[in-house]
Amino acid sequence: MKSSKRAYDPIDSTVLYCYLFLLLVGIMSIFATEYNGDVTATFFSFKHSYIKQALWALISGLMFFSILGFDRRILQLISYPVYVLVIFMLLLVLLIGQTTKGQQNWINLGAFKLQPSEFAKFGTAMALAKYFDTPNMRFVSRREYMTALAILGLPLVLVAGQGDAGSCLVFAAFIFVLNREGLSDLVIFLGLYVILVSVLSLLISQYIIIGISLVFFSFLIYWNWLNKSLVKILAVLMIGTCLYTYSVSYIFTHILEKHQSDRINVVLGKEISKEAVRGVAYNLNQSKIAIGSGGFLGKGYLQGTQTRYNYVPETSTDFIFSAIGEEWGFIGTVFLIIVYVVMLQRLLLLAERQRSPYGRVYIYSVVAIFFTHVVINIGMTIGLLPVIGIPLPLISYGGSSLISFTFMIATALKLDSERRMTMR
Amino acid sequence: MQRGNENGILEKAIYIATVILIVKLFFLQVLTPGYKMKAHDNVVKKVTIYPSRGLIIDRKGKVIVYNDAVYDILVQWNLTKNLDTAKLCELLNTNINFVRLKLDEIKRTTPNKPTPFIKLLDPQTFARFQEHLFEFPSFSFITRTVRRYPYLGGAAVLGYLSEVTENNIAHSAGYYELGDYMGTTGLEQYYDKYLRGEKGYNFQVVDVKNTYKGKYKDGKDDKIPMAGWDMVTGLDAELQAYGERLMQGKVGGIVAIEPSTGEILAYVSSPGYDPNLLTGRYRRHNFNILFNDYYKPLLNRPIQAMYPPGSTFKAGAALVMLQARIHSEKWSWFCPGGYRVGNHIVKCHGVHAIPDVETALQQSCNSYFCKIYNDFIMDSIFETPAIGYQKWWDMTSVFGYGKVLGIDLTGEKRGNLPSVKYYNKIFGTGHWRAATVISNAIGQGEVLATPLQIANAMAIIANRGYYLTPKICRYLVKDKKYLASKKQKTTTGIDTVYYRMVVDGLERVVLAGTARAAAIPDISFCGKTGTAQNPHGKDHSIFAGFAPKDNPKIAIAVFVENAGFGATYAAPIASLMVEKYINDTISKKRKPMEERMLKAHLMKTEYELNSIKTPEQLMLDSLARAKVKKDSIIRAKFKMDSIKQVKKKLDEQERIKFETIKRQQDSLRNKNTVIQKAP
Repeated sequence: MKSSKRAYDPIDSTVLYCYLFLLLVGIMSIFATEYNGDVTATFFSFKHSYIKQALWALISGLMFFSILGFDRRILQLISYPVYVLVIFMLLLVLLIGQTTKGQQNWINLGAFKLQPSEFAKFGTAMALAKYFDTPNMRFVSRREYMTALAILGLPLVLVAGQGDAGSCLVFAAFIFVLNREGLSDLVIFLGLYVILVSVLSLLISQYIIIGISLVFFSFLIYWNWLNKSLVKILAVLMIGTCLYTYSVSYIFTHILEKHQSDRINVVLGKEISKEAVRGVAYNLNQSKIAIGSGGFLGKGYLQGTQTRYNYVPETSTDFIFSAIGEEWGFIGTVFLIIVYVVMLQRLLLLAERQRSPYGRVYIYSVVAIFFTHVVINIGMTIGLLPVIGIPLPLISYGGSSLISFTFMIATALKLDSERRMTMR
Repeated sequence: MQRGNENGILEKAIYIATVILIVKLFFLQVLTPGYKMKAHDNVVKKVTIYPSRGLIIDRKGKVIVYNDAVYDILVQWNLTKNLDTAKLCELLNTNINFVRLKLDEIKRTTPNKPTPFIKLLDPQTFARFQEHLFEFPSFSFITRTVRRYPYLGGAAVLGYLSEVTENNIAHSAGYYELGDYMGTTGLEQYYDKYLRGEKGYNFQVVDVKNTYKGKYKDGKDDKIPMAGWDMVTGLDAELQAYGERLMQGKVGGIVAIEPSTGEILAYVSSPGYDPNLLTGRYRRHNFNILFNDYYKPLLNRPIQAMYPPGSTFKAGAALVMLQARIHSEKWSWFCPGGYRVGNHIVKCHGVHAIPDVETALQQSCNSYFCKIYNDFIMDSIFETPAIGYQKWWDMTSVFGYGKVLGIDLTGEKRGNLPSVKYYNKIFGTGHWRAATVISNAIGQGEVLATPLQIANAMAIIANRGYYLTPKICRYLVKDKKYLASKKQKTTTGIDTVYYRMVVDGLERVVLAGTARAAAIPDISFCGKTGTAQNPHGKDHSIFAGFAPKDNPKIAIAVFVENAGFGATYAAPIASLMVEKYINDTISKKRKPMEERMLKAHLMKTEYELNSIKTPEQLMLDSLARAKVKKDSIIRAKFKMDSIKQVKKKLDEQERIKFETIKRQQDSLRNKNTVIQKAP
């Protein structure tokens, strides 16, 4: 066997280039949303978000290199402490956090605000990886399942307590990681099934759904009468479906908050309350106008009117994709999506070539987190998904999310470059 | 060594999600074209700059209509914070309820746009508000213009502006937009296309809060407004104002024409109104008052009110007779005090001997004109009276009766000169003769004419045989470009000789005839009085004339409704107008008459109009009512008593009846018992 001269490889350039590209696009787009025709006046003033974002990018770069300097064993070693730290911070947020737009997820540190839920994703990924790296871990016993779920569930509950639905979904996306590690595909299909039933029962009368599922499952049970185990599963599914369908509208009106149910109604094209027409429906419509008016080639950089003149809200943070869509057009948006796909694809490849479960689970988690962010963010700006406040990774304005995503990428690259150090 | 599922479900999810996102983006960005327009509509705001409307100038160069700046106060609701409504009310002279209602309305409808809060605010109030404008950051203003009328008159001829209707917008070929003002009546309407000018536009880029962010396309699509054409009219502002003063308190109209050009010198419709009332903020309120007024001040009497022309019709009738050679000018006639037609007598003012046509006109002899009318139509050269009538109609209608003259105002009425067809329909073909329709001879009956037509007929006589289309506008002017109004010369085909005779007759009317009161020293004034019978009340007083006799400068028609004889009001008013126009002053001798005319008030008082009773009457009425009430109570009591008596009587009768029956029965029963006991 041919041994290499060095114990570790250089870091993966594809991911690095994608990372730098997205960072640049982010700063440029934030600049575009604030640009008011006069370049000299807008440069170098800390009032502007793009200057702050550039500063955060600089800090991120420093962190990137410092992480590359760590030994991977240290990373593994600090996994649990980091997890404990972020859980502690999440608890702190619930106690002293600042509330904006119904979400209590800021800790004010004077000069800047910290958003612990962003770091929680990173910490949870590390902790989960560390757990799967324990010796004799096979992920088959109930205890193992429960522990893994607990690692995910704790931050999820805390984040849900903050009213941060977007981050909740991100933690739910860890299900992909568990699936990679041996969780049955059926769980994912069950998840899809639940979403399908929810949407259908919101769109159509729930009694019709109950009727259809009763008939459908009765037929299936009748067909597979001899296969006793299948009949049992089908029966459970049938009863579950009926009960769930029955309770969807209750959940929708009583458990979900008003603005959340409004946002779902907007996407489903159902009737909405008056303030939602002025609020979320108006915002979504303006976002669609921005992206749609970009056309095939876009209006050109710094030429977007919808986003520059504040018709689209939150253009520098949650709706940054509208600015990109308006100024760069279909070409630009597709290119951006492809860059994301390339990066995630490459990361998946890196994950699969890891020798240790730690590296694999960790990088897989990073991909899942990125994927959820990108899909939900873009989906909401073009009206495919409900409006959920969640940043577009590496592009949206915000120091916490930028640093958190930088941590994830840097750590992933570091683990990959040192993968040969792991002996198994 | 690997473990777990290697099915790559996350990878598949990434691909599926990517495809879905890209397909949706393709639909949104490439296949849906409407978004570009929506984004454009969001950002680009069209700001209209209103041009100044053309001035209207009289024949001596005096400005009759000019523009004045007024201000629309706008408010943008979403920028309003801590509004001091009390101060706002005080500054804008409004009450708190109005402010609240208006703000509520704006909040509901267009909270993100500057919306008119108060329209057409006068400059004085605005100046006060402007000093405090900085205290109301969400308020702004735009300058607009309204029309101002320094002579406070001429409303009927000048017309007014009003906000455009949906219909106007549809017919304006895209010029007008909601909220614009356009000429609705009078000259403002007729020449609206010229007077209005052309609107300018600024295209501005605005952000979501509607704050200005710069010009759209660097102002490439902007348009500078173009001022409207100025109009020089033939009106004499002083004469017009004088005419309106004379007509104060009277219902009717005056039309004065310059015969040589057909230009209207004065155009009075009475009761009129101050045209300034229909500009500015209180336009709608004032309009409703005027609209509901008993005397209809909005009616344009000189062209829309039709009266029987009365004796003024006789001048034309004499000309027709002379031209047709029915009788010569020296044909004499003895008037026995009336003209007998079957069982009906057309009455005359007295018994006259008429030696010639001049005297006939001077005396305004009804029977003379009935006779010549009858002789014309029943002349043996015509096979039937209908043919004769048709001939008479042809010759009379050239004086402008029964047709639209083509003045540059809309809504001109044609009057009525009944046709053969009309009479055939009423009486049946062949069943009517001159005698049947004799009242046409003296301008009564079905003949109707507008004051303009009468004045125009006088202008024809003044011109000795022709008229030019009467027009108010002389020419329109803009940047040294001129646009003269088109006039058409119409001749009557009656020889000038006959005009001389008739003019002599008309002069004698004023000198020694029915209109002696109208004689003006130094000016040879020719005219004809008229009294139009009015079935609804007192006769209308009419006078038509021209002066001077040679080279006439003015032809005039005056109508005063319900004022009696033509000589009483119309003739003096006409003479004053003529004197004013030619001499520019009223001679000392005629001052008392002027005073009398100015003071005369023939309109009904408010009490009469609205059947409102005076306080004394009200007291009497209440007394009467009380008496009626008392009487009715007494009557009721009496009735009640009588009813009681009747009832008593009836009861008595009933009782008697009952008793008799009972007695009979008793007697029968007794009989039976007797019979039973018998065996």
